[in-house]
Amino acid sequence: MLKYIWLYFRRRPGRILVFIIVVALGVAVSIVLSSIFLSFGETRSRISKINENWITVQYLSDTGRKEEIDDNLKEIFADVSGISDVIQVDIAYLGYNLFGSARANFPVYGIKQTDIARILQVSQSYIVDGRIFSPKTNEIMVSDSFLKASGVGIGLVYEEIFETASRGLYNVVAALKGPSVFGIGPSGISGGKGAYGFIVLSERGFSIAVESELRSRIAGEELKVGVQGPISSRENIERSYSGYYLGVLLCNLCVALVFIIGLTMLNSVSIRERRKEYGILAAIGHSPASLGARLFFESVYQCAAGWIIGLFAGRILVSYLETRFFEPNGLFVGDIFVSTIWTLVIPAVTVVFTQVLIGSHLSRDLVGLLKSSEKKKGILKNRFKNISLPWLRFPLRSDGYRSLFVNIIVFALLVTLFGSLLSSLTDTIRDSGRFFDSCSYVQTMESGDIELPEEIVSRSRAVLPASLLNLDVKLIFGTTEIFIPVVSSKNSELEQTLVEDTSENAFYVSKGLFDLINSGEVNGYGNSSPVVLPSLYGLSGIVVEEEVAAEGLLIFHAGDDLVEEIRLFASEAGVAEVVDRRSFEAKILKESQFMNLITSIIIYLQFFVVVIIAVVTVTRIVLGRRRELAIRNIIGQGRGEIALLLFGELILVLFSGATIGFILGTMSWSIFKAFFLSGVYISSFVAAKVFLKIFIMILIVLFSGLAMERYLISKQDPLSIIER
Amino acid sequence: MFELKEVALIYETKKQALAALKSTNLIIEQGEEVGVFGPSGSGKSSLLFIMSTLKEPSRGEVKYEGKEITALTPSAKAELRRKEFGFVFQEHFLINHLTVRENILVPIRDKQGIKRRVEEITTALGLEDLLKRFPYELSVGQSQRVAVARALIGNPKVVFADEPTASLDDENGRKVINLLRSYCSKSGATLILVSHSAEIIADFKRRIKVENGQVYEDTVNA
Repeated sequence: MLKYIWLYFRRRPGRILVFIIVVALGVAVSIVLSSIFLSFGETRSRISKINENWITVQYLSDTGRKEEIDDNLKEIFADVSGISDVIQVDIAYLGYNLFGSARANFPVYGIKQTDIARILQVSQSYIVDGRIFSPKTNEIMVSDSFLKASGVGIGLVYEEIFETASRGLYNVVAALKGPSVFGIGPSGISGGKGAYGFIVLSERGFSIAVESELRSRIAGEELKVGVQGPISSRENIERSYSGYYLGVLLCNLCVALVFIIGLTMLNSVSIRERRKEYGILAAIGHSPASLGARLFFESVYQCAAGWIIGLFAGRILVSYLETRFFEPNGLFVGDIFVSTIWTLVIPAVTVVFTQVLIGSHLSRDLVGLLKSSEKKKGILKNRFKNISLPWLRFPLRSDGYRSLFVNIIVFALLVTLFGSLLSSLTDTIRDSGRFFDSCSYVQTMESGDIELPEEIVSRSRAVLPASLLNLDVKLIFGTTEIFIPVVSSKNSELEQTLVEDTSENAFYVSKGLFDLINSGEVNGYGNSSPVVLPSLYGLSGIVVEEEVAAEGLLIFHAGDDLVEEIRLFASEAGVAEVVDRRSFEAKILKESQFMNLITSIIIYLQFFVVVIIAVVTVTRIVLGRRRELAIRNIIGQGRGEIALLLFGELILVLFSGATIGFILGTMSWSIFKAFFLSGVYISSFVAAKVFLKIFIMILIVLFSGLAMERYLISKQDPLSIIER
Repeated sequence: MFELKEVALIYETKKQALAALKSTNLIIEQGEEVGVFGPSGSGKSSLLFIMSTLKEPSRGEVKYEGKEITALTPSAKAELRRKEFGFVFQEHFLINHLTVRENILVPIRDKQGIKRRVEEITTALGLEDLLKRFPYELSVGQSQRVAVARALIGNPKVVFADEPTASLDDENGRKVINLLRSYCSKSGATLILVSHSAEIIADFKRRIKVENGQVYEDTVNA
């Protein structure tokens, strides 16, 4: 058996190696992509896992603890058997950014300092770094993964800007490590507006029974109190995983499809080339079945080798990414066993497809097999034979260039499409923030006037009482939140600062936002009809009303130093919300990073596949044209001349393909944009980035092709075809 | 025109040396019509390849128009083949993805006046209706005539033909030989035609017999 494998490998090592590498690549990519999706699920589930350790009984309140509910609950606790301890808590929720894919909220429990040790013990967590919080402050201890994800260090203030569940500033004093993601802070953490209740600890083995008992008792009392424990935790975990499993499935399906098609194409070439060999084997007495079996084992060996290598490569990549990508983003890598098994689809389906292809060839009659070597009439051949671009007609008639041509077109199309999509998204969000280039919005946690320091007031152009309108805008894969300041028309400064001809109760918007509103992709702007104001960019706007219930201040300024001073003032005064250019930048980063990752993976994957296919194709072109080269050389064309000819053909095919792909990409982007993405626009330098990528790709293909050509032509012996 | 002095071609393997062509002296004049015949493996093709620069002899010198040609660089040899020689082989060796017209034009670099020349030659060979076809759309006889057209398009001074009739039926074979001979006699070019059968070159003015690598002048006809 081993001897057969070795013999088989020795026969065409180049092609077999390429095949194995492509299989391995597909498997590795599949594993890495799965682990990214699964890590989102795993991280979410770790947030839910806290309720496997204890049962949380909680109610919502805007005005602090409600004694009657507390007393009621305490009575219930006294009746339920199996409870070992009850700890009084209030809960704030902090947003946990799952690498831009979505946000999850994790709880920060406000407890008495004396309870810290017990909670840590029950949750199997420990303090890795920092100290214990001080009572009656805003100091908190949070999971270290959260710190990594939010880019906050110990001793820094965490600003919860985009969350409405809990607004405030938290001073992070310690990092916690353990199987769950949660935080601990002093009692009163939720600042009067949030969740209140108890952590119920049960005796060993009683937690599920206690949870059920509590649920039924509390439901009987008709209290608006939620109970979360091991049962709901498991439900939550299943729910959070199921969404990401779907992602894993779809992603793997895409990868598998790309690779299966590529591999089957590779195989079909080699099968076609070997038809004569099959014919000879059949002629000397091999039955189609035995031939089929032989070829089946050949592809099984290749695929198995590729799968095993890909498995190792994927595992190594994931463990590398763990330190470089997952951990720094606060993500936990989940169990990738299932997705690893799933990658078997790539080799398995390829083997099946290959066998079908082989079957179709072997079913031909013997003479047909023996004679089939020269005349190839593929589908593409006739398409390009009379192409109306005369300079392309020539190279495209020869065999190998056609697949290269199609490949380059597809590549350029994808790069253009994804490049445009990504750039337009980031550009649109970034330019939406330009509104806040010259102003900052600050808002207090509780209603009441903000006393701006005289220093800031005197240096700003205008200070307007304002409130903030939060709009949910549907953009491509998710919903983005944008902020629209609402100011009063009574302010005389308004005319000088923003809108020249202010009319009352008007909703001034940028062109992009206007388009989105018209296509019904925006929620939360009420009934006011929008008016386009050309001076606004991206997705931005301002509402001018006669009377504004001002919750904060809109401060117009000229310089960056004032922005920093406003921030400083806000953090010292405990102001709830600061919206300025910097918070927009942070938002762009978070919202676009997932898109960025996926786009990069797709582009570089395609990049890699195209380069491999291109090098193989160029080799094939030259190898397949050895005969032609020999003929040309015999009748008087020098090697230099022949190399120049092939080089010219390669350049023509690559650049024409890239141009066609770029044009098609731009066209499809425009169509896609018109139908699905009104409001998003594309900045001028996206073209440059796309061009650069396509150009680099062409250069790589060109030089690898050139090197291959040179090498093969130098080995060319004109007599070989005559003497063969 | 051709002057071969002590030319030999020896294939050396680890165990033995095999002489494909033994020490040969030969002079061929401009405009001669030379038929080379002998059994398969006798070395007649080797002789043709050496004269046409496709193969380098193991020793000896080959002069073409007084110049030594064995020591030329590969590109100089290619240039010589393109300008001075025309080739027809047993197989037609046409390029599959080029049309008949494009195939005929492969050896041509200077396209001036070429249209008339193509017309001339294709009419003479009866190919005028096939110019836009691809080689795989032609019969064997047609393909061989295209190969002849390609060999003659550059007005070569020497035409080398290596078993040009072997894959053709008698009638087509005769046609091809006649085409080559009429071109050479009209233009004063040298024809060197190799065949395993003496019949085909029976009426050639000069015949050379090659046997076991040894070259003899065949004087039966002379």
